[in-house]
Amino acid sequence: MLVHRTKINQFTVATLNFLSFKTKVCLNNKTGYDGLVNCFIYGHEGEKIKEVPNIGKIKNGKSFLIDVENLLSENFLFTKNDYVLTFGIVPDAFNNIEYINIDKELLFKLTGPQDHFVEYYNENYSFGVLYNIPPINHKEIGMGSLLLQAPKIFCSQELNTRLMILNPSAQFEYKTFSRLKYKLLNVAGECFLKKEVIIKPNSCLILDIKKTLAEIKNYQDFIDENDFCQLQAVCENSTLIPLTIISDEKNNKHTIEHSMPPIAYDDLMVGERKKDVVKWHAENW
Amino acid sequence: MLIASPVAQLYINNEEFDTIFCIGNFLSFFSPKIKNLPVECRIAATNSKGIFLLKKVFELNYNGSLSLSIKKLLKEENIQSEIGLILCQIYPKTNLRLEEIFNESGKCFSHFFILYKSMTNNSISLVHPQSTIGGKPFTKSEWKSNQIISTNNLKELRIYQANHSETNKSVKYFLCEPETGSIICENSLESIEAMTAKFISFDKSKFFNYSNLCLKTNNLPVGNGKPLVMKIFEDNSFTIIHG
Repeated sequence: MLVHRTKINQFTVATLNFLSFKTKVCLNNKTGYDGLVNCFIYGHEGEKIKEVPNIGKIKNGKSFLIDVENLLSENFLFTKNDYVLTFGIVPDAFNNIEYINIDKELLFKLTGPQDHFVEYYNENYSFGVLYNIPPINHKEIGMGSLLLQAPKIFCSQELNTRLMILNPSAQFEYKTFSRLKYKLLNVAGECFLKKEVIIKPNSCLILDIKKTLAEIKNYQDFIDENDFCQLQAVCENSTLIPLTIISDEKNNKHTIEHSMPPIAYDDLMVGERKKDVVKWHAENW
Repeated sequence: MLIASPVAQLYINNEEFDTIFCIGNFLSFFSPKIKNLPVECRIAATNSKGIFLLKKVFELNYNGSLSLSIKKLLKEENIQSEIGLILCQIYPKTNLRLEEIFNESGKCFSHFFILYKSMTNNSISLVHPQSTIGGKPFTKSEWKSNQIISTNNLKELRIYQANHSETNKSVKYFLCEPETGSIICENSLESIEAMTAKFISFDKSKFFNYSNLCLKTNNLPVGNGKPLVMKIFEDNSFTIIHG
């Protein structure tokens, strides 16, 4: 299959300027090759703003630190806006080739189970998360799906939870508008809110749970004594990357964590079986 | 269908911290055609010596979930324990014909999330567990975290280590320069008892000359038994990120 050289090994992050936090990214190169770092900059709505073909060199086995505010300033972009940034590590051998004819085995070897790190910081505080993004949402590799159970929603007078949902792709020209269905359930398993949203290609959608709950009278009745409830979500037409941000809004303190894929819970929850479950949920939502 | 060994994560329970455990009935979510499938959520907690303090069973409805304050759970049982492991295994209710209804399921791992919560300054940190009890042995000569630890406004760095194995383990921790890998300082946890957790601290005098650090160890108690890195800031707020 043909994969663009910038899409072999990539890491997508969204900035959180709306929470008054700056962004720092640390890429880790475990591809087995030295490489060149590039970046695509999008708006939170997924509109492509700029391509930066060469940020620097990253040696095999080493890390590469990027201050996003500096990167934006150097590229004459307004640093107070929010962006989605997709960083790529291009192995040296592919630097002069636009599209690489690559098989799945080599592609996944070059991607590897390597986590990259994003940190959000201000002058007093910082928080971050390690995660990776395999080659997803590619017509030849497969579009995949999202099947998410997130028993980690906390809402109270002080606490809020936001889901940051990214829609990146290993496809150079990615045009899929992803349909996400989600619901909130109390600890007894009773659904008290259902919604459907469209997530644009290369965009970041912030689902603000507290704002959503404000639509429901007496939503506190559905939250338990630890300020907790559960979110479930399904997307049939693409793989989405959900990150959970829990915030103490009064003190401007936050925490972010990635989600666990279904295969982490059941090691056979892949392929046709996962497709069947996704289809069942989508039809019976 | 096979149920893997319990999944475990460390809890912190003192005047300053509470630990909130949360889990969903993932069996019903991933096998949604089996209606009205309640499960048993079997919880256990150990103390700082790895000795079991309590075992409890909670029932989760179809699509149900559970959150527990470890502080409250221990208080209800009149148990005082500041650190240890919380273990969890989810089982379908035993009167169902499991082989028949779960004939497509693989090995199931009862993953949960943990919210560490400050009682005084309202910091919070969400993490998922790293490993099952037992786990696979660590076979490498060192482990290096992919996390870059920025030292801005940092007062102390605390490394929490859970031991998911069934034998005592020792681990050496090295704070290093991210670019060169050269060691800035080191500290050790000697003999972490099986099935519990311990922590060590690095105060800022050890690292104030460096703007970024990375963490290396010479060992992990089990293959995926990465430590939790707690950054404590000058105002005593904190954040915790797994290795």
